[in-house]
Amino acid sequence: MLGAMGARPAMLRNAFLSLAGLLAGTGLLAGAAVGALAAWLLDRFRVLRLPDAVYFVDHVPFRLQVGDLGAIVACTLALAGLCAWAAARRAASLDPVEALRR
Amino acid sequence: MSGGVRVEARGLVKTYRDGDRVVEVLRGTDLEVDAGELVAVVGPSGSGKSTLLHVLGALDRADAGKVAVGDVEVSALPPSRLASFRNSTVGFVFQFQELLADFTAYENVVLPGRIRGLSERAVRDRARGLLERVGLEERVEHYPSQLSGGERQRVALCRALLLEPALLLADEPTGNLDEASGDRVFELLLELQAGHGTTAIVVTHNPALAQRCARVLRLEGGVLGPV
Repeated sequence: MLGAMGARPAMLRNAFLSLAGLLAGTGLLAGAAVGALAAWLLDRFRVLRLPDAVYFVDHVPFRLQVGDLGAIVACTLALAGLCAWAAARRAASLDPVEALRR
Repeated sequence: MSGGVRVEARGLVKTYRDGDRVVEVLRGTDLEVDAGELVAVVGPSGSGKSTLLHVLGALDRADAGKVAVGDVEVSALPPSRLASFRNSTVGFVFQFQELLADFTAYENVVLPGRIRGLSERAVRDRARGLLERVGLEERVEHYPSQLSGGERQRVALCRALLLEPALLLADEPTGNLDEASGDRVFELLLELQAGHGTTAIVVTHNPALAQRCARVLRLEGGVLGPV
């Protein structure tokens, strides 16, 4: 429909990429924040208890490694970017008439 | 843009492949519509009425033939200029409205302006004025799912007319509406078209509505002729 109203392919591609960036960025930030907070809480309050006679520790420890977090964020961003690029490319190349027939 | 443009099509040919079968939808179709004229196109299902509108509105290309809208020979435009031509010159109304579900009525109406790169401020008054004129001033912030079919079609009509296109192409604008809603939408379409002097070509199955247009053409066997 946007194409029928005169949106150029580049505009459609950018719209898809912007939306994907917004969704992925929001999800990533929220996920990283919730994950980091959960790790800290689980470690701080020793939520996951273990029999120390067996494991030599009485709870499951959580250590937040900046490198790990960075790698997770980078991988997620790369995957989201790849999927968004594929979807945006497809949307931009779609013939408006074909889209209207669907 | 305001006022209408002359539309001229000569020898349009359009074929489709349906499996091994080649379907010739337009077979040397000719059409002349004067600036500001309102023309209805009728014809049986599958006769190519929508295809004709798509070709006239630069949504699709004919296999052969020429289309001129005003001074622009649409059939000769490079693909890179088709989108801007549609945005600057053509307003489309479709049977199923094709409104964006996550946008309010108002946001749907201002979309062509956003696509042109205009600020919301530049089109706000006109969008609100159009919505008011079609009786939707209380529904401006409603989403398409909260509107009736007739209301959605009125929003689509406002969207099509936002940038005062020189050419309005309506494909079965009342085809999905009950009789009362359809009459209301068609009446508004006639009012707005006459008010702006827009050239309009309306595809319809409804003979009573077609008769309200200045001229009625019938598309059959890929050729247009008077009724």
